[in-house]
Amino acid sequence: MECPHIPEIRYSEFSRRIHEAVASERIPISGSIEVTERCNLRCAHCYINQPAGDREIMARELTYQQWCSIIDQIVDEGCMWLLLTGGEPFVRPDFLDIYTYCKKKGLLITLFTNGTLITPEIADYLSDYCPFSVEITVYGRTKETYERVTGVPGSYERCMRGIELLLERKIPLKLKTMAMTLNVHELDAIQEWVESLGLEFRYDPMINGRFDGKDGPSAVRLPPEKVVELDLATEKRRKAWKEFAEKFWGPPKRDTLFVCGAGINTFSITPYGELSPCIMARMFPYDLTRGSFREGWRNAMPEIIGQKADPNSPCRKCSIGALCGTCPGWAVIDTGDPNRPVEYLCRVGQLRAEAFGPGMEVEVSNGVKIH
Amino acid sequence: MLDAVYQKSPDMVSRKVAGEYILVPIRRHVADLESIYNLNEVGGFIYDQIDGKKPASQILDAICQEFDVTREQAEADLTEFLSTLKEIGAITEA
Repeated sequence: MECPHIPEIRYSEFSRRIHEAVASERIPISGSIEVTERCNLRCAHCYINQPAGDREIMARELTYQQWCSIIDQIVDEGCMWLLLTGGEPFVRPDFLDIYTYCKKKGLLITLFTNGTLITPEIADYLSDYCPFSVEITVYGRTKETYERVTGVPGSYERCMRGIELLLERKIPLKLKTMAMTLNVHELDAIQEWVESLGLEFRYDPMINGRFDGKDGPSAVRLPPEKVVELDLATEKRRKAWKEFAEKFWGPPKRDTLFVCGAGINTFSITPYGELSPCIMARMFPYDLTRGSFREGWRNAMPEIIGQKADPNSPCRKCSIGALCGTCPGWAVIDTGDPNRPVEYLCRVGQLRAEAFGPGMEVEVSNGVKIH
Repeated sequence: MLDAVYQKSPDMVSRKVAGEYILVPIRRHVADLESIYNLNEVGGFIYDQIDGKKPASQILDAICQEFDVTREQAEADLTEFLSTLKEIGAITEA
């Protein structure tokens, strides 16, 4: 008989082992749930936010009981890591009930929040029922810039207070930002501040359009040249992009529409119970209010991600597809067609290819020059 | 210890995922939240037997029936395993 011991393993080791184990199986090990599209902020770049008090939208959202049923089902199918996001999750008065239900099912929860609705009571609760991680986006280092992005006076102080409450309780926290025309001048200052707190920092300059088709985000997108200038701004980023370019250079290896890992071990569910391969690609939803997660995951999802790409799509022959970051989801949002190139992303990809592609020279002196 | 009856803590959840049997602490006062506790086959068998009703001696009987092991060895292993489960807050005496 093998001795019944209990090896205590760190999350990182556990994560590596599980991901290796599921690599050859279609287990939905990691997923995301948007509990609402509503938000108390009105960020200029946001792809999803709807008014916090919109009753029509509220009425369409799944109830606590419906979420519990879906959470039971995703756990039964093997989900281990779950992202709870929105909108702003805390605009739902029952959000902590949903969160607690997930915790009690043994899920490892990452929580995306803007931090502005975190009270001492919520922070105490999160300290007790501790999440795997909380992630807050910091839109500016100053009140002026932060609120230029969010459009809500007083939101900067509330966000800072939320961060403070979580830090005081040593709740695992990650801070990040979206880089856009409104705040790019404070990007370095945000990074310095986050790192001074002893936290890791990351930023994302890629701003996609809105799911509801309304204008907005594209107006605050950084020009492609600026995106690549930021890629080149530090040795760490340059190295990471160079390695990435070398690893993923060349046309797509698969002839399917989806060439990423979405839908193989990951899934996403909208506030209305629509199951998709990922948050972005929600154009072929499976309705969980009419069928089970098991049916959706095992039967519908392989059909969704197995769809063939249009062989005449320019993206099929493109060698730098990994550098532009396009995907069927983004293409649908911007062009209405999952096979069509997104002009903005093409330009970013071309500049990245010039900067980081195999055999290409990168020169950096007194600013950035790309040859 | 063999007379004692043990019950599972509601603050620790067991999961079977991708061939791994794990215990996940859900509250901060239980164990170390940075860690996951991994049970092997025998550990999982014992944990499954803990129901807040049967004494540890009955779990020992079940181990001896299920696995090729001497009673002395099984008792030593069970005692040590139950102590560890208590230490990490996964079980309490009923």
